[in-house]
Amino acid sequence: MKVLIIEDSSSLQHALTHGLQRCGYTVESAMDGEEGFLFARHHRFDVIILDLLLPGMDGLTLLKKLRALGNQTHVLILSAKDQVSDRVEGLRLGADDYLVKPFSFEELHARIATLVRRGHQNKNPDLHMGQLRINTFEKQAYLYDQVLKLTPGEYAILERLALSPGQVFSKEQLATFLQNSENEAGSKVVEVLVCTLRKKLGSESARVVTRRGFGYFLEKQ
Amino acid sequence: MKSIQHHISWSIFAVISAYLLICGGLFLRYIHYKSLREFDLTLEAQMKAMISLVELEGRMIDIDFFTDIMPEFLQKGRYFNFYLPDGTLIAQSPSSQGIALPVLADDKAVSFQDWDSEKLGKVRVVQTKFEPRREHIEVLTEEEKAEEAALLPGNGSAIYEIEYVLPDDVEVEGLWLTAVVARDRQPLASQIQQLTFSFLLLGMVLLAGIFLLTRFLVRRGLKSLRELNLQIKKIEPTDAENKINLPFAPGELVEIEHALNMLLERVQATLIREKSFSTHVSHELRTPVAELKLIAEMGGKYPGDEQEVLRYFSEVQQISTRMEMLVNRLLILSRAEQGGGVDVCERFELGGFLSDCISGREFEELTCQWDEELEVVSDPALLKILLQNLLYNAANHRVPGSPFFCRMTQRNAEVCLQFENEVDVFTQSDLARISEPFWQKDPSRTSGEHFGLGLSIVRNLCMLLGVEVTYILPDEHHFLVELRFPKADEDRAE
Repeated sequence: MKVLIIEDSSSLQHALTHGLQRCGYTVESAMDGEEGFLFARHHRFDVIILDLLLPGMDGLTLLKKLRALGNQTHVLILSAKDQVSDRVEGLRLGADDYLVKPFSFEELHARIATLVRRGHQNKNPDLHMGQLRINTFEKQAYLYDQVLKLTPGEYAILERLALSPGQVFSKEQLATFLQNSENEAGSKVVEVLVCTLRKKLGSESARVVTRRGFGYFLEKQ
Repeated sequence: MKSIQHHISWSIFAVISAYLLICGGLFLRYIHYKSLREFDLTLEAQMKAMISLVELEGRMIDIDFFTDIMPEFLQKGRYFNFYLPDGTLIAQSPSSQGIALPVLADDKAVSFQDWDSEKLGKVRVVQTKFEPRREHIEVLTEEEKAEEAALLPGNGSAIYEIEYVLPDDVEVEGLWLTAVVARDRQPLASQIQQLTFSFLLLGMVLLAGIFLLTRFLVRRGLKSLRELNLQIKKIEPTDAENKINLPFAPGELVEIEHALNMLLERVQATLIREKSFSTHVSHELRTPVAELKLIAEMGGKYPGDEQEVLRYFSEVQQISTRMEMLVNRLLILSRAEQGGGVDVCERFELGGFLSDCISGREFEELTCQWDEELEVVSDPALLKILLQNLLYNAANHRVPGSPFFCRMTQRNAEVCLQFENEVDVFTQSDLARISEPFWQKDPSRTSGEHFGLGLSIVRNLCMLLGVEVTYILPDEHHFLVELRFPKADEDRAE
């Protein structure tokens, strides 16, 4: 899952990036409104965490411009502005959620997970594929109710495939869910991760199938 | 608690009551006087009638009166006595029952007095001296006899005749007699008593009516005041639209209504300012608190990530320093706003003082320009805070790397100090808000090092020190602050 953080406080941005990466998210960040707008416009994200008081372009203008361009990415506003009018204005302009600072990281994480599920029209945080269960909130996969030990990369690919079972994803598409600005992932990395994932899944519950020339999809057994 | 209605009602009632009592008293006295006067005139007329009946025939005094013309002298209540000059009673009415009426010792033509007699009761007495009419023997014609007979009462009339022969030692020539006529005062007293009672009753009814009318009128007059009270009670300070509206208020209350609405506007403006200030403070604190909370949460969640934890500690230190700066600035602003007067007032040379403020700070691009030594009288501690704020403002909000200036001149005995720096873009509307607490050109406050309190502190300190501050935009890329110090006279320094 890819998250874009647009926040001008370097401390908040860094701690959020760290926390979300540890939760298995791929995180991009921008320090000002204009940079954030360019990121949001030219890259695909599952959720954008948006501060309102930003240098360059304020959060509400950014949101308005994104929606005007038809961008449907879920936007969670994270702001110190706590007035009802501020929240209403944010939601009215197209935000999906609003969280007031100071906040709990756990709550922010839960809200991000909810937005991701909503994006895949799935209200249940548990994805079931035969004996395979994936908890999208905990970022944890279970096989026969036993924890399946996956690396963040393996989990990211499994969750992406499981959220749209049967849908084929190219290596490049899957790579975008792994990469961030500092650490670019290539198709080779995806191949390696798919290989190790197949080994851990075995062949009894669900398997990652290759469609030559197109990519991978998840198939129920 | 005194009520206006109570006070006004009772005051008006008391004044009207006193007025009525005085007028009533005077009127009663007048009525009493008039009644007595009328009573006396009647008595005097009766006395004159009686005198006209007294005749002197040789040495005999003859008094004849018809009982049906003057029946009152037959019964108790009306009395007459006639006396010789030596006080000898010569005649009295049958009603007198042998009691001699008193003879007054004064020489007035007609004298009145009240006399209280055990047997006759309270009577009014009139007295006069007169010469008795001398009888002339006339030879009447038959016609004259008939006319006289016609004047006399008819059948059944009795003539009460009193005859008294004068003693020999009494000289007939120039004889004068004293007539004393008396009348019972009881009818007059009853009449006066009835009048007084009626008048008192009327007065009480009138007073009760006046009291009720006064209450009603005062209550009606104070209706707008009650309406005003109700409207004031209903006013919610949080509702900026609240105003007092008295459509039919009298002139005096319209002024109060206007003054109250002005006060409400000022209170609301203050509340909005305070609310805005609180919102700004909470907003300024929210972001660092959010940072601290998240950092603490991350540090606690992933304690094994040593590098990250070290970074978190460093950030906590930076954030807490920023928060401390904010709290310090707020304290300075609060003290400056509270005022309380200037404790120390010293005369000192401003150029040297400014150099002290600059020394030790890194103001490399600062150019100071002043030709002569100029003195001011001020509180050095407060002035130092003021000047440092202006220096920091110029240094921090100028175009990075651009020069900034501090100039000092004397203008009309006033010391004028200017700070000028380059800015990216600044407008007149920015200038109007520049002294508002927490106002910053960049609303994002990304740097976290500036809070928008510096010029608010400057404004309040200038008010305390009596320094006039002006913000000027020579053009949209230059910002100039001008301080004008009052003339440094000797008295002020002392």
